Amino acid sequence: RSPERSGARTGRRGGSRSGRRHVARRAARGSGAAAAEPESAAAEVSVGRARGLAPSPIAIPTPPALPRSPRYEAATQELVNEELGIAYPVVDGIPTMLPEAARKVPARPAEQH
Amino acid sequence: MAAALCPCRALLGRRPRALRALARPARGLAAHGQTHFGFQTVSEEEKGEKVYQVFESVAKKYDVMNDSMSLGIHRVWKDVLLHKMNPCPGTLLLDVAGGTGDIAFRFINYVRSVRERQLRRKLKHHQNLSWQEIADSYQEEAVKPLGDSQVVVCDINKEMLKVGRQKAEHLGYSEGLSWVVGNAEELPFGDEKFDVYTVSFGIRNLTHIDLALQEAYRVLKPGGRFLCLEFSQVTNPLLSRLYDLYSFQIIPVLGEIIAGDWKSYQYLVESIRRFPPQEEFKEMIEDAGFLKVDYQNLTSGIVAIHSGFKL
Repeated sequence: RSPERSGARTGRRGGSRSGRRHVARRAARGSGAAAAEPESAAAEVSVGRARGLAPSPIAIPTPPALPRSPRYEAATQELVNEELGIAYPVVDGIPTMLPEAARKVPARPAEQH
Repeated sequence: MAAALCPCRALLGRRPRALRALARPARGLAAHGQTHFGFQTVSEEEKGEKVYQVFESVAKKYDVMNDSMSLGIHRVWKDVLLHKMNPCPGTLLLDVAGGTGDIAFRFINYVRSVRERQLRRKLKHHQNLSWQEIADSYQEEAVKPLGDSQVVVCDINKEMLKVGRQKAEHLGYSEGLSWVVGNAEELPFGDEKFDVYTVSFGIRNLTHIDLALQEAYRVLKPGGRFLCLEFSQVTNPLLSRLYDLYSFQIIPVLGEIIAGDWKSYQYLVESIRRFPPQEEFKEMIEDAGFLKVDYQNLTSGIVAIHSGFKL
């Protein structure tokens, strides 16, 4: 595997490849910086059961296959999961997803598709 | 056929594990509700608080101290962990107690290079490409350099995460990375969400390791892998004595000189001694439900990588 890799690196398209990668990385960094706020964190993280708030595990009905991704509420600076009815504060762009930090919000169950 | 075998295996496997859990001697527990903080005995509530203070205090110098204490060898250990994980693009990683992001950055580098190799190999095997196809492949590499891989760095300590995030900005990592404050004993994620769960030099600081292992089992997808990189018991007796000497005489002094914090580093080296040895920790992982649990000693057992699968 390594001969192939070194061959590709030093071989034919050496110069243009590194230049292209540099451009690609710069583009990724540019778009990344814009999305560095919790919006990206919200899209990537799916919030599930917050055991501290809910009644005993036996009483919780099995949640649907994929709870909806939480959304970031800019007004209150919170990561809100409407399905479970909890909101986590976001400080400095980092959501504090601790059970003690969560706040109950009016729950809105997921629509059936 | 596999499905028919599985319940039988689960039934046979679970009972001896449960008995083992009852029989296992309580490690360093003086009384109910008490636990160890290094060589001290503290209440369970206190331990969480004290551990938080330790890491809040060392956060800014954490990486520097890691390099000085381990003479840079911790980088090799973490690289070995990534090679063992061997993630492919599209993997969802949860790095718990991931603090300053060492594992997360290595993961991103790894999948990025795997992805590049994939794309290059794909191009090489296609003969007679049209200019449009070549341009499309460049576009694919630019748009999805990680191939949808993502890593969530979860830590209970916000200071460590802040240091990690700064490092990410400084090193130019922008996508595929999330920073979340969360408790390893009660993760804020749904069931079966992640492909790989790693905890690197963090699990020995938890108050309830068994809860963390259960949470790891819960958030992993079926087929998911649990990987733990942690200090463990040295196998060689001579090396063990030298290691003890180094740990207790040199490391706290380094901590005082470099980070101005003797006590935190005293706690860190003591907590290593309090952590269960390889075999016992392997049994704890099995108790949480993981199968094919195994460990690999590195540097004669100074650290060990434990691996288990949710099957």
